[in-house]
Amino acid sequence: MNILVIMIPLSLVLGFLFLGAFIWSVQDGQLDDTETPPHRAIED
Amino acid sequence: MPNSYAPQLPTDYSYLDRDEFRAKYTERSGTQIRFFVGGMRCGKCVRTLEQIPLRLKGVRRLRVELSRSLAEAEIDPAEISFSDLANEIARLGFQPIPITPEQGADALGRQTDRRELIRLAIAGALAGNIMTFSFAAYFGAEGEWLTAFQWLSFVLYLPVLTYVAWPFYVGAWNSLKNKQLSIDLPMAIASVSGFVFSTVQLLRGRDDIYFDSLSGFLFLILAARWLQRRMQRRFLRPELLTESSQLGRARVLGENGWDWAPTESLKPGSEIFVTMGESLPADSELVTESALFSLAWLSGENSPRIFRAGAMVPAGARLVAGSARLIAKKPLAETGFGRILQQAQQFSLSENRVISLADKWAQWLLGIVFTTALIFLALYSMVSVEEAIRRSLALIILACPCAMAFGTPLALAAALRKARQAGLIVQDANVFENTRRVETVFFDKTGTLTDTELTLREDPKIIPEDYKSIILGLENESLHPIAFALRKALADENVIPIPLRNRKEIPGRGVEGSIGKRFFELKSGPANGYSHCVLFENGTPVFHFTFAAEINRDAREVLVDLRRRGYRVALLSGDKQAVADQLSKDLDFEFDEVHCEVTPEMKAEIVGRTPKAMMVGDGVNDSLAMMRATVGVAVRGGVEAALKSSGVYLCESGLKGITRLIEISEGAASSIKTNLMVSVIYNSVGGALALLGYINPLVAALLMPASSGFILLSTWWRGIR
Repeated sequence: MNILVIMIPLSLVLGFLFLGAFIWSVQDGQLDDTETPPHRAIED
Repeated sequence: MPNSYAPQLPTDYSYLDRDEFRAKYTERSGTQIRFFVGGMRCGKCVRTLEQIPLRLKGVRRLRVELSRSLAEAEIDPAEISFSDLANEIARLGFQPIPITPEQGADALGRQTDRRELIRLAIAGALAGNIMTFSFAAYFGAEGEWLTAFQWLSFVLYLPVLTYVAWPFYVGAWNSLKNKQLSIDLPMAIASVSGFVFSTVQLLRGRDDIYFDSLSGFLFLILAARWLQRRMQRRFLRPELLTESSQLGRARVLGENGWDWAPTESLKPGSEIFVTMGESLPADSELVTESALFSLAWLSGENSPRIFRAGAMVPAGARLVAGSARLIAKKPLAETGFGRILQQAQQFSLSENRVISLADKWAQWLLGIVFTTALIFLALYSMVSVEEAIRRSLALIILACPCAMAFGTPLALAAALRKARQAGLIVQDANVFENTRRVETVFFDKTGTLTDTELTLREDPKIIPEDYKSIILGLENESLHPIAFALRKALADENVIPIPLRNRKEIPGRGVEGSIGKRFFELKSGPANGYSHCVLFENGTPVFHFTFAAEINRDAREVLVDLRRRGYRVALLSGDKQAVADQLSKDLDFEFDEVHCEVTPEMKAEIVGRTPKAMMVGDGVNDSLAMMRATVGVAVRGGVEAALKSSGVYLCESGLKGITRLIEISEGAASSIKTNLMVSVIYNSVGGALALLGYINPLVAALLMPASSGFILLSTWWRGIR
């Protein structure tokens, strides 16, 4: 069970790293328009 | 706007280079501009537009947003001007309309979108982690570990309590201020009292702790609200933008001749100049001898009217032919049309009031839940205070009317979206509810079942070739309805118009011109049931033409379909009985009720007398009747009346929208009914169990997402079909 002492903080840290990445991508404007980019990719 | 004088945006974009306009439309010290781009439909258009920077030197960047038809461009003002860019976009076949930064920000609502998405992400991450820790407890964690997990949940719940649930506190506070029950209230109470209760239990070493189910359900409600926001996104209405952007500027006589100036700077007494297709930016007095103006935007009436020198022409009137000089008398903002335009624009940017209906039902259920919880708390406190608090809290958490909280708004938002795809502008979601109650459908004749545009009744083949060329030469530039009809009739014949000498359009009379010694006139003759016009050569009549309004192409199909669905179908017409009979014969359809020679007031009276009536008509002369009807559907007409009097506006020509509206309403209603049924069953069973003390945190944590998930899935499934 002692492994949990490492695993649980690790899981929390990992989880919140991804949350941070998501928040960054939203603030960067990457999710503002989800319709046009697919067209760009297809038409190129 | 389905009218024959559709906004023809003048292709002169030079005004964009003037300082006043640059200040108005651009951002970032005059290098960035946003256009609404009309005509953008597919991925190909995205590519065409986004390649402009490759071809045009000085355009630094151009990004397109397809779903909202917006293009954002950044230029280097030293190398290129905004008018060059606009001209290039126009050359590619699109209609660029510059929009002000405020219009853009309103339409995008990006900041709020981002903020709410982040809140949702944080709520999801926290709820997921809290849920994981609780599951450890359900699956047998004990002793120190259990306590550790519970404290972890407690820590993770703190940001939920303060940050995630914040919008609910705001909503609850507002609803208390307005003395109304809203769905935010139980959320706020559950979030806070659940926290207090669970913390107390945690400190006492008990295991009935609700952090997981609380954070889970706050996340679900946030997710539903976010979906709903996405579905009822604001949208810009191109026809209003066109009109307001054209009215935002005027050609004014200054010290250096005619030049563009912003409408706001127009003073009473300024001399202005408009050309064909442009609308008046102010109530003005006509200087030119005579001019033909269409008042379609103001009154919905399509036939243009003649104004003579000295006459007052209202703002918003569109010049039909040639050009005209006027003296501005009253600035746009003070005119009736200016105010209407402003209202209309606000409407086009405001979200649909989707929640009202759901709120009404939710309030009932909330009332019941709160009363039950309070009575129970009071009574059971005599037995055990702790148990009383625990059970009534479980009831509030469990019995939150989730089906109403998001099932109904989602179903209605989906219906609104479908309606928009079908070319219907629906003012508010109650229209769907009202549509389902309709039993009788009234149709207006002119402009609804029949076209207001005229069609030549004779076969154009009987006209000799050279006369065809002369007719086209005479009518080629006119915007008169008869000119349209003649051009339409001759369109397939490959006729080349002959240029005529001294070609002149005399407003209200006709056109004239000559070739060599032959002098031609095309005059409208006396009206005899049909519109009528005569071609004269050197004063002798050569040809007679008659014109009639054509029957709307899917009128018959829609009428038959309505009858099959069991509606009474009625006709209202200002025409004589004979005309209505002829229409009935042409349509091969027997109306259940026919009212002839009725004035707008009488129409309103008839419709008002009939319970559960739908009125399908013209935006203007039927507006009284549409207001009295259960559901008013405007087929065409001025913005003013269409916005004020009807709940639904058909953007596309044709009447198919009506059957589509009925189908969409029925779909939404059955979706709402399923949700309600599930919700009532769930609430009564869950509520009873909670009060009897059978609901422990595990059951609550399972039941909440299960019922919400079911409602979300079923609504979504119906929504996409």
